[in-house]
Amino acid sequence: MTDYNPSKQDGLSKRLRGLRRTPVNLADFDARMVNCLPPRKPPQAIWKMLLSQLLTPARATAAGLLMLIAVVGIVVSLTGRPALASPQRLAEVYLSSVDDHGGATPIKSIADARRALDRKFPLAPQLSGEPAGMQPMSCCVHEIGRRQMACVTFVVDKQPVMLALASATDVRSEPGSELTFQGTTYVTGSSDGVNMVMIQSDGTWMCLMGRLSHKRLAELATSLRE
Amino acid sequence: MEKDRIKVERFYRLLWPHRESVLRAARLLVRDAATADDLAQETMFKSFRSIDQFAEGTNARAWLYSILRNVRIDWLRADARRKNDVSLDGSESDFEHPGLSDDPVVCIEDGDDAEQLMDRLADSDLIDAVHALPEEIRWTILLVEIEGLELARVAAILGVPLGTIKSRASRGRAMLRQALEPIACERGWIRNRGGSVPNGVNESESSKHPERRHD
Repeated sequence: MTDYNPSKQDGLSKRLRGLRRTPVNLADFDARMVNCLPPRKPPQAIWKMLLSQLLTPARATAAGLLMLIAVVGIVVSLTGRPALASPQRLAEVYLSSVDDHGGATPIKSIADARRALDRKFPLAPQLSGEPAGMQPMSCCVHEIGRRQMACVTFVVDKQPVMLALASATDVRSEPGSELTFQGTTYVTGSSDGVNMVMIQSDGTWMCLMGRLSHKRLAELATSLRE
Repeated sequence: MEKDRIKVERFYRLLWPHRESVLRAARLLVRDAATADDLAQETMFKSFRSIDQFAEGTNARAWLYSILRNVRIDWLRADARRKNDVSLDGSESDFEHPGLSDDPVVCIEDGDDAEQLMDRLADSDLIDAVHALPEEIRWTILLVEIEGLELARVAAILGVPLGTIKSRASRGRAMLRQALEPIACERGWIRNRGGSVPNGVNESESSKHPERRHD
């Protein structure tokens, strides 16, 4: 056997050397490695790096302006306009609470509802007294477009009916058909078999929804507002 | 806490960029891709744990290959304990390729024709031939021929004298030629031992068929 001469570059050597450039897919490998190695940059290190990048006078000024614009943007987006309560979204809220009992707190009275809602949503519009013929069943807080609304479910005519209350600056009704009951005009809507009547007055937005007729819901809403 | 942060920073700066070389080397060492990936993963993980022992400014790739080598030996030992019949010393007589003798008769000789032949072989042909080499010769071919490390460094990684590396490299090349020859014969690129009609690389044939496909 001949002695090995590393400086001799023949065809075999060139081909073998070429294997060094064989592509390998690192994506799967890296994904696996993530599970057994610490992250490349801990969060505080990233912040330190960003701060060190930004803390030159010119950059700090630009960064300050950007931050200001971002904050104003966020504030405007959060507080500028009330969220639109569409019938579809309200029906979702109703079905998730009534059919699935998702996150609802069982209650036996309006006083129970006030206590429960005070903890979850201290700024919720206040509920009036015990409505006649409406047995409180549960309460919960839902969000519509990042705005909160307090919801109380009653049993009326053996059917669950949900009352949703929010500040009129937070939630508004989608334009729809109107129904006037005893001189009060309600906006009505329907989705997924759930009917709803909505009204806005004295800075409070109110919606009553269920599988009862619009007229019956308007009647109940009127009694709630008295 | 600060020590851990420095360790992580050193690892990602010094060793992480070489993971592709480690993964590629593992796949050339081990035929099964999943096992090779496990081997490379274990190597990178161990390198992270041992990063304090790595001297900055030295050859990181060579250091990683040393770890890869140790991990591979540990795995072979564990495998041997399970099977009780696996050679641990990487005996050079366990050449797996069928039909190869211990004293290879090399038909693909160095020269222009051989070079053309090598160009016609697919990477997968070469990789299959490398996989079929005995463990220690495979390591030598991998580090010397494929990765291009200095012989002295390879000797240090594999823990054998320089002369052994030269001998293994020479033997490995001969084995590779012997393994690749049947492929070239089968595809009609060279005259087989029986002397039947050549179909490619010699001067007259290659000039007649310049358009012949490179598989």
